[in-house]
Amino acid sequence: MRPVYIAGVGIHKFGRFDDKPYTQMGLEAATMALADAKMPWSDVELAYCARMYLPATSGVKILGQLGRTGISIVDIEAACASGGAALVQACMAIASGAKDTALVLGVEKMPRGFMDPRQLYEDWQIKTGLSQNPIPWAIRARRHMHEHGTTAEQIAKISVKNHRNSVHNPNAMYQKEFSLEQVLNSPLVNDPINLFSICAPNEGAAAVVLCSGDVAAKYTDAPIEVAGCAHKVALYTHFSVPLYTVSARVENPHVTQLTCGEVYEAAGIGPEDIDVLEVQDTDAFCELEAYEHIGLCPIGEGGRLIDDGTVAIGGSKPVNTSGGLISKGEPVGASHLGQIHEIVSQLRGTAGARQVEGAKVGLAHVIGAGGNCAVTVLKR
Amino acid sequence: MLTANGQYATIRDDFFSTREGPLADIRLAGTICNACGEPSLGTVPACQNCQSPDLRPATLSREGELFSYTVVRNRPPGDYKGPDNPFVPFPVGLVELPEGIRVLSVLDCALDEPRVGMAIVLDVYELYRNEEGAPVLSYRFRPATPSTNSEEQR
Repeated sequence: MRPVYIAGVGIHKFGRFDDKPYTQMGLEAATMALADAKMPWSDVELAYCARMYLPATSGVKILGQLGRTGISIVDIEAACASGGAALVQACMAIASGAKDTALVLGVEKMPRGFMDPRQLYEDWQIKTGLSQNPIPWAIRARRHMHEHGTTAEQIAKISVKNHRNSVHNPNAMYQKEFSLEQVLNSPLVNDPINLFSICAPNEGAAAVVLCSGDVAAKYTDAPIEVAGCAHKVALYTHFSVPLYTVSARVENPHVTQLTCGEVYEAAGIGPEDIDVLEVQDTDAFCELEAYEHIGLCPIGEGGRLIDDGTVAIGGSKPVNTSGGLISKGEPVGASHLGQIHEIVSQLRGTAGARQVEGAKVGLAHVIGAGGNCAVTVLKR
Repeated sequence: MLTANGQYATIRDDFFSTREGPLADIRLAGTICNACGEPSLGTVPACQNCQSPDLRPATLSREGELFSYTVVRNRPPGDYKGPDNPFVPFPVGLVELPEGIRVLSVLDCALDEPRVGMAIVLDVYELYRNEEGAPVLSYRFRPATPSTNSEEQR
């Protein structure tokens, strides 16, 4: 297998754009990524479109606007990990030598409020009311508090950190600081998770242009290497939407641990080598749990990393410098590629007030329904 | 009132040990894997743990322990059949049964009553009436010992 490089990235701001069709948002992100890569659309040999809530052949409808070049364009869905699943496919095509270039687009235009439960749940789960997406995270959070002494304040501090970072990110939906009191006093959604510690489904797009080392010099003098990229589905029994039972007898590694393990091996690195991270923060507890599963600290000690500043900009492992999904919102098809956009900006040194000085290695992580998880490690 | 064939309607028939007789006698049902012993709620085509198709039917215990919990503060989306207009917030728990399975369930108790580790017991109840006016049964759990003094907790 040969190395894969990122030649360009593009993003359409995440937020609410009532009068703008997804075809336009996706086109803007793709065009920006191609311009960043200095690659004409006619050079692209393969394209994937990650999306969950959009109609059939969304990728063709968006990218076809650039002209019909006859290449394969395939839509990919893997819930919150859709962008990562699409990126894996494109990387495999280039790493194998089958293709030299690929474009991966993520785009979403989601309904407001709770997502349509019929996408994820059986009828009986909806009728009984066991169909709210934060329930598994909330139940995991309560158990974490019970077993490890994690506090509501520690969870809320993660939201405060992410909102503070978002102030400097023009692509975030909310660019506003909130105090610890404001977060803790926001209405409870599923205890202990409250409104200001949870991400909103929304709209947006992001795109990545990939190439092989053979052609990289043609497009960019500062390629970013995709050192590892994997998508996995959780083993029995990881408690996530839409599961309604969990084993009390069998304990397997968490899907984030398994996916990180695969990527660390491919990249020849460990968590100690990572300079900057974008991780899934469906809610603030989800991010705390990710610290532990990514290997930034032992299981049960996630709360310490927010208390001692490790995960803040200026700390040794800054997490969600972009503001995270809590600030950006989560357009599920686009979320992982939006993370890639942020990590690439960090590794290029163009992240402005959010810049992590000297960042050389970055990690992006998403996890969601069905136990879908994707992790990408980038190196400059 | 039962359905035409003399059995109760349920939210998912394979979750229940019987659809006849007193509700207090109905238990949760599932399977146990003959290869690895892993239990499941309802029928499954293969063991989710070891993939074996060699499964035997099982009736699950009525009594369990609360592993963790939360509260549903807002009306769940879609065709929710619990108390509505106005919606009433309700606790939800992950209930550990002695067979080695944790089941997600509505909890029939005050919002501030759940505690990790508390003893709880199955309650098969009428969730709603279907279009024919027949009761549709669901399951939930409630504290084995009802609390007499519960304070609202954060």
